[in-house]
Amino acid sequence: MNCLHALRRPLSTLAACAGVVLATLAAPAAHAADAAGYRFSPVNQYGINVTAAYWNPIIAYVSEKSGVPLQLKIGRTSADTTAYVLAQEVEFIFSNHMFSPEREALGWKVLGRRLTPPVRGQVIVPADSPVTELSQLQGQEVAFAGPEALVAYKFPYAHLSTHGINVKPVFAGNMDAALVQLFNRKVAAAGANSQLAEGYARREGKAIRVLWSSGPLHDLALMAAAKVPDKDAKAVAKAFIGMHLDPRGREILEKASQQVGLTAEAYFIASDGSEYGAYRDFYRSAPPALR
Amino acid sequence: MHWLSHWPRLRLAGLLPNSLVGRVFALYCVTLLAFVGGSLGLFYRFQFGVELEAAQTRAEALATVILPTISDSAVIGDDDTIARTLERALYHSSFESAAFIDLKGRQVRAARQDAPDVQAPAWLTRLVGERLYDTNLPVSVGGRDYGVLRLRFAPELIAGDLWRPARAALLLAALSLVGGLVLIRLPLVHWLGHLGRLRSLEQGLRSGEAGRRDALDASAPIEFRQTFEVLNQAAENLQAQREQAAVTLGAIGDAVLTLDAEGAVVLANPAAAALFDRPLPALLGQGVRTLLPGAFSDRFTQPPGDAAPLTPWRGRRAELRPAGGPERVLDTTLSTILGPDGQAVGHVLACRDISEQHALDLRLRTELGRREATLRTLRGVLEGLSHGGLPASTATATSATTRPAGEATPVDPAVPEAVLAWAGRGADDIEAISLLISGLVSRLQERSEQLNAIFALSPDGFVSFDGALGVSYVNPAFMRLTGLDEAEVLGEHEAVFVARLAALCSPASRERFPSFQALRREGADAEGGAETRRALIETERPSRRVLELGLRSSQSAVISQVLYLRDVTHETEVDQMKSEFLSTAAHELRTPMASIYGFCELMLHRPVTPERQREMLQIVNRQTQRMIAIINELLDLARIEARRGTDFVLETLDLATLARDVTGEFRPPGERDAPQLLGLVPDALVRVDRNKMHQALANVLSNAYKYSPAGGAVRVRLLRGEPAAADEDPPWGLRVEDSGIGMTPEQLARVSERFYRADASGNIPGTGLGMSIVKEIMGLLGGRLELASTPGTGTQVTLWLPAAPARAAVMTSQWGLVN
Repeated sequence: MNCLHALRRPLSTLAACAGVVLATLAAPAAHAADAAGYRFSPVNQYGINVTAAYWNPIIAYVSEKSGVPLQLKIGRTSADTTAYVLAQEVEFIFSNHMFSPEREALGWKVLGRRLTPPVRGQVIVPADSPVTELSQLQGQEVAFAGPEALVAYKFPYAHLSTHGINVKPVFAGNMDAALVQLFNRKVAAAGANSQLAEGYARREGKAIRVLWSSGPLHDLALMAAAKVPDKDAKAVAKAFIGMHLDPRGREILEKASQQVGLTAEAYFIASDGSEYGAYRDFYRSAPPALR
Repeated sequence: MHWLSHWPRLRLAGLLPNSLVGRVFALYCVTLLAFVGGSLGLFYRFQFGVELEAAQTRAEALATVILPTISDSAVIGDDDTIARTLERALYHSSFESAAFIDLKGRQVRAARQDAPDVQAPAWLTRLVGERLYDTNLPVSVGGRDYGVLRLRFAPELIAGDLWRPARAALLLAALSLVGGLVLIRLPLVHWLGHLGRLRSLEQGLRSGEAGRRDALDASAPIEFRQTFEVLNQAAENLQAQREQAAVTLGAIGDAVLTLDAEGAVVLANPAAAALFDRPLPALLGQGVRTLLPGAFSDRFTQPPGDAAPLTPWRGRRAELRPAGGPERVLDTTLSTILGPDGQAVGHVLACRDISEQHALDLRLRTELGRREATLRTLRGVLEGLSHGGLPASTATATSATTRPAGEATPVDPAVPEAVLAWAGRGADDIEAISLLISGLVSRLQERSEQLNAIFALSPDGFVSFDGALGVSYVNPAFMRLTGLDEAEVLGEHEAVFVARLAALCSPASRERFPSFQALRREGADAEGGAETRRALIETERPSRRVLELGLRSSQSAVISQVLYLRDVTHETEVDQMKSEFLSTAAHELRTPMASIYGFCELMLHRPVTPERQREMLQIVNRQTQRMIAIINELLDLARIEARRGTDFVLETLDLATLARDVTGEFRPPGERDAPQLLGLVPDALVRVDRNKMHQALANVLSNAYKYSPAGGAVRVRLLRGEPAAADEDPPWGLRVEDSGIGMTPEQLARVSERFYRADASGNIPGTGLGMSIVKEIMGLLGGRLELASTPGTGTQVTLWLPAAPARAAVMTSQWGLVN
């Protein structure tokens, strides 16, 4: 489905083809990642092809710059990255799934974060949809990226539940897949990460209407497992954080950002994890089923 | 590089079967293979994607279904239940294994042991394995993670499922292909086999038996049947044409000889036998050079003689002298028959007897020679006419082609090229004659245009008369001077014309109207250099004019005489004015002179007392002063007229200041009061000659005092007039008013005439030239003189001057300095 959709636009097609090649090359390598280096798993936000097209050049640059070999490991859904974490199959992640009290106990450390305009959990519909209020979604199917998606699922679904609007969640696997279902009118609305929804709309030339929007949240965090030696974690963090200051790194970042609809200013900055208080607050106050 | 670009085509051509059957069959095979293979490929490519997507969806659904059980069991640590659940999940699934991995890495795992029913090719299994992803689900309860549920696909199972129908489809496709090839081969060979009959058709054409209908059976394709029908018809036509050609060759009057490559006759028609006066068999084998030596003379062949190879020619004339017969002239054409290799395999010689036409040609040349001589004579005549009158280029071109008239034409009837050259010279002569005529015509046109322009633009009137003394031409000036229209006088006899002219004159002039006989005599005398009288007439219509007439006779047969009329009205008036002026001036000078003369005589011949002598001398002195004044003013007026203001020194002056200066210097006669100045305002700027303006104002002031002998104030007033146009400044004027004797309108009209004096009594001294001088000065300064007078009341004389362009600002600020 994703492949067919990607063929609609030439640029997307090029990106998708590049992504297919890279993902094909990367996927077998990821399975055998234990052999050499660390495995880096970003949450699949855009679909495998686009996610690979974004992360492959960045990971190649960081590996070369830091001297710490990293291999990309992308799951098919947003839950895969969390599964890899729980199964201890990855050492570095780009995720926001690790801020629940229980998962913070696993010892993952925040190295940095991507500097982007604040992201928000949203409930969106196509701009020409007859749905104009959340209450109209009562009993309707609403697409989400996956049950693990914090911003795109847990935030909006918690809001809907809190306000007594019972919807039927449809998990599409990742954000792009959920948005494809939304614009194909398979579902009435979609829970979305504002950054991903805007990027998708920009890439695909779609117009959306936001029915609800959460408070501002920081973009996903670069994290390292507790077992990674501090020296390697710092080297990787330094390479990420200094990337936009290096002309070659900046060029790679800008090209990669274009692939996913991000602006050229989206680069990585240092973080100790303290900025993610809003996520931690959510876990404290969210319905138990969503924690 | 060129061969490289054609390489694939050459390779393809090498692979092509030679026979049409083989090619059609090969085309069918390739097409069928491509379509079947392509369709299968596309279908399975689609099926592949669908199957993988479905497998992935099934995995997620299954994981979601078993996740609650796994979660519950993980919470209570029931690994057995987890293991059983995982085993059940694998049953009849496409998974290789299912596992629960807890947070410490411990696994509860179930794996399939059975082998796939169908063993897919390794590449397909690898491809499927690369496209499928493990399904991972975190096992979390109440926000706490217990591990991961992972389902791993068995690529060989899915690949086997994909391979099974593909294998069957490929087998069926191969069978279809083979069956189709067998089924198509047989009818194809049968149908296309009819093409072999073309060979028998070609043999029929060779043997001359073409035209025999050889119909195909009904099973042959309709295209073949139609093609063979057309071919049979073409063969019949060819046979018929061959027979027609044989008959035609025998029937045509021209001799036609077919020669072999060496020039020996191999075929000849009956006309050839008649032409060469030999039986047909005697011609065969004869060499063409022997038969027709005239066509191979040295003037045609190079090298000459028998060594020259036979090359095609057309229109070669050759003489033939058959034994005992008259000489014949033949027009011959030799055509070469080329073989497939481009070499000559034979020739066809066509000969036409043109003896009669040749004789006609000779006569024609002679006739053309005579005509050329005539043209040359005509050309000589025209060149004589246009001697020196043609443009240089034309004359050069003409001389280059000119030959002496009467030169014998070099006609050589035996040589056709000479005829062409001769014809070319004839063309040159005609061209030269055309050029001469064209030059003459253009020269005539040019002269005609010049004369038309001269007569049209001339201010004098011209009338020409034809040989019968009828009016043949009048120019525009004549019509303008006399008011007579061209149509009124053209064709009229001179007597009628004279009557019409006389009718325009005043009665007195009509009586003195000169006769044409007298005018002709005067004209003849003038041409002889004798003194003649001017013949003048005075017309009243269309306006009063004095016209001078002249008549010149011509020896031309076309124009017998030309009358010209010159407008001398102004000249006559000037002469009259001069006479009057001289008379007046002499009269004005004679009066004081007579007085001087009389008193001088008295003193010379009679003794007078000293007192009386003194009185007389005082009178003489006064009269002398008056004469000097008259002469001075005459000279002044003459100088002003002659120089027309070129000696004026123009400067921008304030008119009020000028009026103050003049009145200040003016000495009124007797004890009379000085002129009063009124209405003076600053910035009355005018551009004038200071001295001349001073003179003009002084003259007017002098007249004002002289013509108000009873006294009364004389006023000088500065005025601002009305502008002549909206964009002009209003003029400035100085008006001198007196309370004198005044003038009647008649006197006022003549006041600026020279020597005119309003005082007829002579009591008021003066020359009568003052106001003439004032008028001249005002005219040359761009101003004007305005007079107004009432008898017994007084006179107003205003000198109007155009306002000077702004120097106003400076002048205003320097008003005191200007004063």
